[in-house]
Amino acid sequence: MKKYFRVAKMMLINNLQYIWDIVLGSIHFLVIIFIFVNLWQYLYGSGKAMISGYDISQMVWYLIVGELIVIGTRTTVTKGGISDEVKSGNISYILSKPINYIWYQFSNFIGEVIVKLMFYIPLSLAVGLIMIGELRNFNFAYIPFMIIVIALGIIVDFFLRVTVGLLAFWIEDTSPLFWMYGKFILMFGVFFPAELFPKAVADIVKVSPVAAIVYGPGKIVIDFSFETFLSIVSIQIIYLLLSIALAFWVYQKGVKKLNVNGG
Amino acid sequence: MLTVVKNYIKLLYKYKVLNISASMEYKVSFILQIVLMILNNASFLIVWGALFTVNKSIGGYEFKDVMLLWAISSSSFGFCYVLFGNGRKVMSLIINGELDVYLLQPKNLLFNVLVSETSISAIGDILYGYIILIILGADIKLWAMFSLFVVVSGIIMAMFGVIIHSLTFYLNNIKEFINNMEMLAVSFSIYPEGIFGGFVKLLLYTVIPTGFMVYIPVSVMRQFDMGLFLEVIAFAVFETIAAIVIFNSGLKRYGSGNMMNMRG
Repeated sequence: MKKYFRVAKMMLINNLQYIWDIVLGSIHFLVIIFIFVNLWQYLYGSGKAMISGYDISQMVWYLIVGELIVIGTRTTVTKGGISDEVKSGNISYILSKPINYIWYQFSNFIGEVIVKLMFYIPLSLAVGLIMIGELRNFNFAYIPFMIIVIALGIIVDFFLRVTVGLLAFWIEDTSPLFWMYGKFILMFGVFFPAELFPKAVADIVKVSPVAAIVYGPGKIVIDFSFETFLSIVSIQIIYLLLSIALAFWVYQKGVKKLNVNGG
Repeated sequence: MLTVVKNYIKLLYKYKVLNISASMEYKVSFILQIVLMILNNASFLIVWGALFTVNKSIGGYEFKDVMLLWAISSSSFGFCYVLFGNGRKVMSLIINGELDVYLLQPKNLLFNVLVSETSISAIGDILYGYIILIILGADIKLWAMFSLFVVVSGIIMAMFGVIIHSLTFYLNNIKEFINNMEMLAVSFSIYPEGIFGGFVKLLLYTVIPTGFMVYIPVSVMRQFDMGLFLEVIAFAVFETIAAIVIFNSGLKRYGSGNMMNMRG
């Protein structure tokens, strides 16, 4: 266990050196929020106080939470670093060490994500407060529950991205799979709550990985109830176990196909 | 003059055939890149479909107008990177001193650099725009106008890229700036113009050419206006000249990387 903490600590220290890159990289995060604030102001401006049961502040804060999970936690590992290691054969350097490859990548991820969140959390709060103001009915006492749900969402997303990355054992270029995965999460979970979709689609979204990764955390922040919390956490735990099992299964199948030429 | 143009077209053709056939060696990856890019673009229709249940019109656009916006944005982006696939690497070629290998070849440097690579996923972007036209049941006039705008907007996009990448000749450490400028041009091009206020609109017709790339073309395709049409053409010509001038004057500051390199 100690070795994994060491890896995470090393990654954290490394990433603190590149804080300026994180700052500049956040412009994309801000642009999406800016565009959607404009869009929602236009839609709510046409005389609607509520859309699908949400007011404008809830809609914007939902987007901010979703973006925090999806964009604010993009790291080398989740952006396709595993695919690069498989393709280049660099994965073999880790295979020869007494450390599990997936947990090693998880430690790397945690180290990097802590630095990113140290920047993105204050940024998200500042942007939300400046662009749209306080969230209606927000209760500070529920923050610990929100943190649990957001953290679980980030971890489920990590293991699913690892699974996609490991498909590089079979596919030369996994980037199209990353686009599709990213788009799936973005379209159905980040931009707005599932309730805006037709009921049949919304019902599927609410039990899909999207619910575990973004819809659930967003919903808990903008419209908290203990009943919702329990149902979201249950879905998250199911998807967490499934995604870990899937990542390990794909890894074990794939690593048998690995051919590394010495150099 | 005609022979020179013919030679460049021949060079362009050879590059594209070579690049595409090289990529087709990995058949699964080749097909996946194209098909998934089409699906990737199509997924946004789900978002817009949901948003249009709230209002029949958003920023002056109806659902079919947003589809047209997506079609032109996607196909012109695709055209840009199928034809000028190396456009997004100009910065790294300058920083790493990798222009040497192109400088030694007896062809126009900028043209040679830009066309020497081909983005395969961008083929999916081009196709997506035309799929939308089929869905919209476009008439022959719209097909012709759309195709013309795909070329003109694609050139605007490519030349905008050349201008910002050429700043690397003058400034250091602007990788993130360049990435952000490219991202801004694309991000704004897929939302209706009417949702943005005055200052942002001003930016979209000056610093970032999204207005000329997609908003005016969509407006002309919805209702033909010769004045606006000529404005887009004039802007494309102006931007091409600006890109060539900025790139060539920056080139005087270029330092060789002394790299031994070969291109197949």
